[in-house]
Amino acid sequence: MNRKLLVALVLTVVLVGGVLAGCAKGGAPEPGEGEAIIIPFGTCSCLSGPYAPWGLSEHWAQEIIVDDINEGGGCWGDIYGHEPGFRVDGQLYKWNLIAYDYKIDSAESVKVINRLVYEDKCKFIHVFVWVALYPNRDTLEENKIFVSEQGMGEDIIGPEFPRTFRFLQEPNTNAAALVPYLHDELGFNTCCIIGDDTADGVVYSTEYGNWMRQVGMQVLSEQIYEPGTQDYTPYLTKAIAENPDLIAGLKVDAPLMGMFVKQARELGYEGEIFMGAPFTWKELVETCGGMENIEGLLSTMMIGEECPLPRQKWLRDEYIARHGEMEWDGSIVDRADPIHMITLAIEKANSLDPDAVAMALESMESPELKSFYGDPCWFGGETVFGINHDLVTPAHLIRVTNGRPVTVATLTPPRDYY
Amino acid sequence: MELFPQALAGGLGSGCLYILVALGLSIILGVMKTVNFAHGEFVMLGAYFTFYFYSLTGMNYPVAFVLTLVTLFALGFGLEKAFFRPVRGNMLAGFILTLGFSILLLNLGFIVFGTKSRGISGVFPGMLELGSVHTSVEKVATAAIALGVMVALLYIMYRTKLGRSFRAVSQDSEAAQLQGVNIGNIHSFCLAISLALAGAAGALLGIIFNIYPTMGTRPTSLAFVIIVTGGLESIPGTILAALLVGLVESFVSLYVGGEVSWGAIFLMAFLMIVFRPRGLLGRDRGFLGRE
Repeated sequence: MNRKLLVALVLTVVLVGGVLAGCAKGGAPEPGEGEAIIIPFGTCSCLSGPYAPWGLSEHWAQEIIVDDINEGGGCWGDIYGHEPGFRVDGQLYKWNLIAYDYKIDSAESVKVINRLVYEDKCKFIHVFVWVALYPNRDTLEENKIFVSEQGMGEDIIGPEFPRTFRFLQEPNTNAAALVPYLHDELGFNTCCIIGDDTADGVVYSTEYGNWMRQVGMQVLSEQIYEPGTQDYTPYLTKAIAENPDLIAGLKVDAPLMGMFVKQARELGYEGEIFMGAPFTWKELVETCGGMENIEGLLSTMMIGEECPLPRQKWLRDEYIARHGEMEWDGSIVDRADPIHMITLAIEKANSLDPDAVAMALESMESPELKSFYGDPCWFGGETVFGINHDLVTPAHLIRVTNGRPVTVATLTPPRDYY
Repeated sequence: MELFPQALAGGLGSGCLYILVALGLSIILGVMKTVNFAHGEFVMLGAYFTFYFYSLTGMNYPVAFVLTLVTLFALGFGLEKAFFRPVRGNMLAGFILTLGFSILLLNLGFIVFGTKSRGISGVFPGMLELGSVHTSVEKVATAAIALGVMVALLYIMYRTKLGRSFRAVSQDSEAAQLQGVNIGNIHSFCLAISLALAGAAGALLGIIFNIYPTMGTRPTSLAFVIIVTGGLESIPGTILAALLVGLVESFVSLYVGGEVSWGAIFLMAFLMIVFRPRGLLGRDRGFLGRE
C-alpha cells in the first residue's frame, strides 16, 4: 500500500476514534475508595427573559446549596453536622448541578428536559414553574424522574404523579396563616382585593377572599385586571372610594408592586396596603417612586432583613458574597429548599431510586425536615390534591420599617387545613 | 373620592400619551404606506435611552429628553436609507422587515438592558389635588409635554413645506414626485419623525411606568386600534381616537371591570371598521381603501 495512504488511514482512524471517545457519554468512572460518585441534578430554569429575576436567583441559590452539600461546610457541615456529600449504602455521592435555560417557552422546555433525561441521565430534575412541567409530563413519568417544581398552576402534583413535589408557599396555606393575624392582631375589618386575571391571580384572590370572610372581615370589592397592566389607577380609585382598612394587592407582578403602591399614594391613599405575592426588594425600591410610599407596607413571601434563623443568615451571607447585596432579597430563601430537602430524603431512604426518595420525602417533617423558610414544615396538600407533596412552611408577614423589610410575625398554617 | 372626575382625568392623561405612540404609527402608514410592527420596540428604546441619559449620566431630564429624540431621529434616518428604501413599494417586504426589527430589538433589549424593571424617578415629584381629583405632578407634566410635542408635530405638518410634502406624498406619491418632491428624503424624514415620536412616548412613559424590554407591546397594540378608530392616515382622527381610547379604558375599568376594558376598546374598533370603515375623521376610501 502506498506509504502516504497508510499514514493517512492510520491518522484518520486515530482521529475518528478520538472524536468518538470524546463524544461518548458513559457513566462516571468507577470511584476509587473514599471517592465520591458524582450524580447529576438537572434544572430546567429561566435564566433569561422576563422571568430571569426569579430564575436566576433560584439558580444561584441552588449553586450555593450544591456547593455546600458537596463541600460539607457552612450550612450542611457546620449547622447540620453533615460530612461533605451524602451517603447511600455507605457510598459517598456528590451533586453536579446541570442547568439549562428554557426561556419560559414550552417548546424550549421540551428540548431541555429531553437533554437532561436522555443525554445527562438526570434522575432528579427541578423545574421552574408549570410552563416547563406540563409539556414534559410523559417524558418525566415514563423515565420515573423525581421532579421538584416551584411555581403555581393546576395539576402540578397529584396521585398520578407520584414523584413530583412542589416547593412553594401556596396561597391557601399562606392565607390560612396570615389572614387571621391581619384581622385579630392588626385589627383590619374591611378589605378591597385587587389581583391579576391569571390562573394564579384568581387563586390568590379567591383564597384570600374566602379566608377573610371566614374570619369575619368584610371584603368590600374584588377586582381583577389584565395581566401586563401598569396603570392600576382605575382599580385603586374604586378601592379607595370604598374606604377600606386595607387594600390587598394580590398576585401583582413583582416588578409592578412598586408601581401599585406608588399609584395608590398618588391617588391620596394613606391607608394600609398588603402585597400577597413574591417580589424582589430591589425592584420594589427602584420602582416605588420614593421610600416614603412603601414605608409601612405589609407583605409576605419573603423573610425580613434580619434573617432570624442561622441557616437563613448563612444563605444570605453566602449569596451576597457571590452576587452582591443588591441581588439579595428575602424571597430567595425558599429557592434553596428543593435540593436540600431531596438530599435529606435520599439519605433517609438510603436509596437513589426516585420512588423510594419520594416515599421518604413525603413522610418527613420538622425537625427531620428543614426548610430555609422556617420551621415547622411538612408536606401537605392531600385534601386539595389527593397527595401530600406540597411543601407547607410558615408564612412570614413583613412590614417595611424605616426603609427596610422587617419580620412582624412568623405564622404556621393550621395543620389539619391542608 | 369621586369616581367620575377621577376616571375622566385618568382617561385624558392616558390618552395624551397614546396620542404620541399612535401619531408615529399613523405618519409612517400614511406617508410610507408601511405598517411598523417594531414601533413598540422604538418606544422601549426611547424609554431606555432617556433612563440611561438621565439616571446614569446625571443629565437633567429636558436634555435627556431632547437627546433621546435626536438619537431616534437620526436612527430613523439611517434605518430608512439602509433598510426601508430598498423595499420601498413592496408591502410584504416592508411587513417582514418591521416584524424582523421587532423581534431583533426585543431580544436585544433583554440582552443589553437586562430583565429587571427600571424607572425614571424624581423628575416631577409631588402630588396634586385638583378639586376632587387626586393625581401626581408627573402625570400632569407628561400629559402636557405630550400635548406640546403633538402641537409641534401639527405645526410641522400644516405650517411647513416639509409637512406639505408629507401630505402630498400621502395622497399621491407619484404626483408629488412629479411636482418635485424627493420621495426618498420625505420617507427618511417620515421614519425619523415617527421614531422620534416613539422615543418621546417612551421617555414620558418611563416616568410614569416601569421600563422593561416588552413595555412597548401594550401601547402599540392600542396604537393600532387608535389609528383604525381615528381613520387611517388621519392625524386629527388619530388624536381624537387616542383620547377616546384613553377614556374608554379608564371608564370601563372603573365602572365595569378591568378584565373587560381591552375587550371594550377592541369592540369599539371592530364596530368602527364595520359601520364606518374610514374611521372618525378618515377620508372616504371605500371598503378596501381605494378611491
